Amino acid sequence: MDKLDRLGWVAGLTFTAYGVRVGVRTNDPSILDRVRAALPPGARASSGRGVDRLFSLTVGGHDAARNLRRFHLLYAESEQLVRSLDLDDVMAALETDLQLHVAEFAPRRVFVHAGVVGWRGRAILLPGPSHAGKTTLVAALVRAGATYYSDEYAVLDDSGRVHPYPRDPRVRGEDDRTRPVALATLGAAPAGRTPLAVGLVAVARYRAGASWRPRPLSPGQGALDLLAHTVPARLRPERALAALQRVVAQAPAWKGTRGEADETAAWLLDTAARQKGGA
Amino acid sequence: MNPRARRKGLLVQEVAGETLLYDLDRHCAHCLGPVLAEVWRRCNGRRSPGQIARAVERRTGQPMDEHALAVALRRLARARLLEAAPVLLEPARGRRELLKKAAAVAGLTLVSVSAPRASAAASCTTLAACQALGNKFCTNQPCCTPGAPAGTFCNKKGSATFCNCSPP
Repeated sequence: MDKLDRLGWVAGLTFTAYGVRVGVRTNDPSILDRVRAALPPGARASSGRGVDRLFSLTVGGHDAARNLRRFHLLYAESEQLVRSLDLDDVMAALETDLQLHVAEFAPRRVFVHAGVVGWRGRAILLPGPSHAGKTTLVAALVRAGATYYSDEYAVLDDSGRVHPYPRDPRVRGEDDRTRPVALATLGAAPAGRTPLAVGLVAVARYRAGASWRPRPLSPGQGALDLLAHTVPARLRPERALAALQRVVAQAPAWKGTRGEADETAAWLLDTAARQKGGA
Repeated sequence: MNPRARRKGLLVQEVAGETLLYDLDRHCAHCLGPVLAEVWRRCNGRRSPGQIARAVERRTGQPMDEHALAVALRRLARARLLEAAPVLLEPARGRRELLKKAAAVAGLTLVSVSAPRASAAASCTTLAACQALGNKFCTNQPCCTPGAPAGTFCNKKGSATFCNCSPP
């Protein structure tokens, strides 16, 4: 780390998100705007010296005088995280690692990899791995009138309520890179701001041509399915299980393979509304 | 040898009649149906299999014969939830026969999942982003497809300096 500290760091920022303090320093002040855009939602600038994790970003580029191309480098603490000639790769890795670090170490929240929308005062949780079609389903739900909460993480508190993680939805392009799209382009109202109790959990995996015929999960099996997508599952299993237990105690869980998102979205909204009416 | 349940290194939570167990050593979680959970609780190393079956029957109201108990103990043992497993685990009859009998007893289910590493619970990484990572920092995230071969993860491969998308 000493060796790294001696390099010429000329700019940086420190922020706190969900109780985790992170610092980023760089040799190029002009990159800070891109760094700010990569911060997790809810990040607030903070002062003070101590951070839980320090990133060091060296911007390379083309040195015309020597006819050299220098790598862009990203370090997390003293470990080299990324070395690439493409700055987009480095910024994507920075964004991923920043968000993942916060999700793993947030002391008072449990992050579950899931899409979330609000519907009639309750949240619908859509846990799933990458490429399960979470963002597509969230977008369909939002077009049908639900309130956007997140397409990446369900942020749970100890009472099992879900808090907004209001980053712009990420849509995957043809080059397989994800890019943020403004919520308004999905025809959505502003993102939800208040924490909600969970009304429904749906583990929906996309398969072309499939039709949505979900089976109900028992509360215990619902908790296991959520745990399989919980970021701090290994680090803080007791807290994670306690939060998940409260979720499944109040919300039925369903699992199945879905085809078109609009059909599934209509079913989810209808079921969630009936669930609330029957509750 | 009487069956004895493992207690160390397990977190236990009750969820609506089911029992969730988190294995702190192996980082996996199990959901035990109500009857199976009763069997697990009564395996204290002092009760014989017959005594366990009768106690579970009294408690749950479910008929529990030696076959159903054998299936229950075998499931618990395979999930490494028993410290001592009795000889009873060896089925005297065919496995299919045992399972058929056990199916008549509701609540003997056991579902297990492996708890993900933090990175595995996150979104996928592109092939280019993975290959840009130094080998000490491979994220083990799933690699995005298309772009990377399906079912691959961003891993360290041999002595290569950088990570690559490869099967786990």
